[in-house]
Amino acid sequence: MMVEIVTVAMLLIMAGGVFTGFPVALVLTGTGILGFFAAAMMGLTDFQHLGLYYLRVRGTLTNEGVQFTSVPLLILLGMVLNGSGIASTIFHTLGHMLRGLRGRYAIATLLVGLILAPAAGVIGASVITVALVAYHPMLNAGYSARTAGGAVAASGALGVIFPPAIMLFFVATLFRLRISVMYMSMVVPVLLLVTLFSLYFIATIKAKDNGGPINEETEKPQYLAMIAALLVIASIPWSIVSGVATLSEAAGIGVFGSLLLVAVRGQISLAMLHNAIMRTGTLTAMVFFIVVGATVFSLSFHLVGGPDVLFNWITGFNLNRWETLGLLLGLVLVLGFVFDWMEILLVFLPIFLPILQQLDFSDHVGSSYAATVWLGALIALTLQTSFLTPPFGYALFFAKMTAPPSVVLADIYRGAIPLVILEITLLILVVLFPALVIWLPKVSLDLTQLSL
Amino acid sequence: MRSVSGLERLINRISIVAAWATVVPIALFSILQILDRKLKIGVSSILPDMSTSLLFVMIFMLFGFTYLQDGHVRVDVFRRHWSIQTQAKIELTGCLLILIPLSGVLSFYGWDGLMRTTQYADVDVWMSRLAGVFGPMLLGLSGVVVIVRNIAFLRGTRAFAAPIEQSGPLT
Repeated sequence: MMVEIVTVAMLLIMAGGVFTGFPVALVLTGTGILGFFAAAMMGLTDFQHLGLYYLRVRGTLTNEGVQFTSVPLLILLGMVLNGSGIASTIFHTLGHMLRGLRGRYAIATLLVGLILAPAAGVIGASVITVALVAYHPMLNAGYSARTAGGAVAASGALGVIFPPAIMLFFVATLFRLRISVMYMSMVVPVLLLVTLFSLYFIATIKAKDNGGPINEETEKPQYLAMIAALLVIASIPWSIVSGVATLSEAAGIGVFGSLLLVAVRGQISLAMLHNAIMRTGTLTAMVFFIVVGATVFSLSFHLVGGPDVLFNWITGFNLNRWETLGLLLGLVLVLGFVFDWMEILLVFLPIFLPILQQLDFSDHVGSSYAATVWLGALIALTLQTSFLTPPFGYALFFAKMTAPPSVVLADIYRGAIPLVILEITLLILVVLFPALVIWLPKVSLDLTQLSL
Repeated sequence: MRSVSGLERLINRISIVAAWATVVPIALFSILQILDRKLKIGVSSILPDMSTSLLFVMIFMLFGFTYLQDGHVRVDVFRRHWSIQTQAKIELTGCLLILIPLSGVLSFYGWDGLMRTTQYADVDVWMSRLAGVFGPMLLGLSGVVVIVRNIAFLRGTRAFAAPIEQSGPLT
């Protein structure tokens, strides 16, 4: 009974602390240390073992096997590209390429989100990047506030699950998957999602909005710059998949490619570099402070037997594997309303992981490893859906924060709802047809030893 | 209050140096590692350790700076609707109950680790052990800056709450 009480108390204190608005990482660490004291008083550990927590934190952050060094490099790549104004160039070039097509700026908005995926270290950065370049052209072209807001939020949310997004690195680490497999597994579902969104925009903008004629271009199309940016970003997954480089090395290639591109465009400056480096430093510290908090919290939670309590509760419902999967994905969806992907992947999913690992879907997907890839992709897609789901989706708030006054939050909600329905449709498709996730890694990578 | 601003400037300067001294080498080393495989310079065995230690230094040395920039993730579903006074009280309580004790615990064990480091340890080990002491101290000092500023704000002697200076809600 004591174990249950401490488990519930830890979860309540953590939830209460987080909702005060105090930094999540500090709340997690504080709750973890309280949990340690509770465990010590229950006789489960000794007070002197607190030092082991420090060693565990240090060991986690300096574990070379996880390639954490790729995180600041991917962020730096995004910051350099953002600082160079390439987002605006790509947006206007795509808008020019798609001329004649209804909803071209909405589609260009989606594609900018995909291309600038590395900047999507956190959802806010991704949405803001897109919003700054896309709102005004869309509104000037006569799109409704609802369409413009929905497109910006959807585009920003897309970036977090398309290679080489940082979130995928953490999903791969959690599920112990090769990063190349994780990257390849997300390509088809995300492109399918972009296609669905684009078709929706083409259909609805034609029917409901005054989508054209488009105003004069504010920026001339720069095809070479856009192709160069595409090559820089594509070089990362390509280097990994082709075996030329590890993830960290590939991210390094991306950073130097982006610097070269910015230099060629004549936009490199000390101020821009300084800003990119400081933003990289603070974003990296922010991400890893949560890693520290999650490590401390998880250690204490395991120490007091919390995961066993949750495991027993969930298995106590006697659900079959599909119902359990639905319950867990539903939980991830709801958690995503409140938490960023970092807390969910680093704090909550490790708790649910033993349950996920017990669900055997190898007969449905093809093999045990393929089932793990499929589960990882489902988690990533669910998280992305939650960021876009009203009323709490993170992407919606950021889309409002950067919107002109004429776009209110209710517009963005209304714009997002049809897109969320499309996302849920895609999720169901991926559940029913695992080949959508498994096919590309299977044909593009040599994975015979993994029985994929 | 002037000494608090001086403390903030010190934290900022140290953090800027730490960011440049870690981000740039990590990027360079990642490229050097690829080149080493072709050119056989013989540094591949050192660079991964060095990069990992630099990352540790970056993370630890920038915790405090990031906090002062209000860069750590917050769940602001309710917070955004609260008055600045309420937010300042929460920040103050959180700093006193969590941030300062955490900084103390991390500094204590960081110091313990530093004292156990021998003269034969590699440069990368020394770097991370030093950051293990100074980083948490900077975090604690950032907490002190926020505590002092929020006390001043709540007593009415300062116009803005901390960590971020603005007159509207801290979002």
